[in-house]
Amino acid sequence: MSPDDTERTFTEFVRSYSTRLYAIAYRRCGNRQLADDILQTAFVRVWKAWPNLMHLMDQEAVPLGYVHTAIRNLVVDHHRAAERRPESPWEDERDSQSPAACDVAEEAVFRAMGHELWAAVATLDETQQGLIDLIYVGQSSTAAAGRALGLTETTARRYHEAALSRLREMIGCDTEEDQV
Amino acid sequence: MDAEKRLRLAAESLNREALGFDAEAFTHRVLRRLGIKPSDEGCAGDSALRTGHTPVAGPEKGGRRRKSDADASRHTEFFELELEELRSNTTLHTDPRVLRRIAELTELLHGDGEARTWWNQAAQAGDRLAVLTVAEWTRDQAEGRQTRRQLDHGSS
Repeated sequence: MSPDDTERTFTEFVRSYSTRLYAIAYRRCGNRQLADDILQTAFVRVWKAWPNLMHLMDQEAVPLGYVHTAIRNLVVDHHRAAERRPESPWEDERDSQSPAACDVAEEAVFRAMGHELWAAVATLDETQQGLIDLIYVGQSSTAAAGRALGLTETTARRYHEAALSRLREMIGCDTEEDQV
Repeated sequence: MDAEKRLRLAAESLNREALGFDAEAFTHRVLRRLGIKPSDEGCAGDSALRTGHTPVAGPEKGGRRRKSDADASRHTEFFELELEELRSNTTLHTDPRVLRRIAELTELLHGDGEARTWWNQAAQAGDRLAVLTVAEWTRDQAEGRQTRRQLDHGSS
């Protein structure tokens, strides 16, 4: 591979995955500017490892897992530096905006629901959080999310089920219909 | 509403937030930070036309860079390196999460049999997910034995 191929494949990768990864970074920190900064730094880290990762572009899983880990570590570093209290693990900057800022009325409901949910997710094991990020926010299959994190499909499914069960314990079910 | 449905709805809300994210402008910012000329600005494949100093892509000094032809083996190699590092660094083997990570990677790369020792060690060290994994095997084995007994009883 020539240096030009290295740059071209990296550019393609950033273009293709930045939106999905931004959503994950935003989920982790709840702030637009911070999510953007963290994602930029994560991609800079990825660039350093790109000669090893670029050959795996078509498999998607490994580079995605690599960026995800970088995002996770950067958010942890940020929280440590800011001496954030662990009991408020997730704050969404959209919460401070007036309801009129929401595109639709339902969005306010989703945000309120999301606040409690993501705070509960933040108490899960890091690998389980990674699976939640990649499956729900990153829209990967359980198998692909597992591959990205270096897990067999069986283990990824086991962790995912355990995460859902833990979340059910923490946030419960709202209606009888959903409990059936 | 069940946890899974809530997760889907909350993730949709986040993804709607991400729709406002300008991926193209972001890509340009990242490339500018690295001194890479965006390929859509008429310089695709031309490394002479760069905006400035380009940091060398690759591991930091002392890092490893290997060449391999097969993508599959590269995929494996990536996790092999992580496993090798964790297995050799025995001072980390008191951390339940490290023991679990070794179990996960061993299972992925070398199969269930070899991974079992590590899963057991991680469970003994108190890792919650390893405990869950070991408990699941024990349950499966017990169910398997019961099914075999029922089949034997039925056939006799």
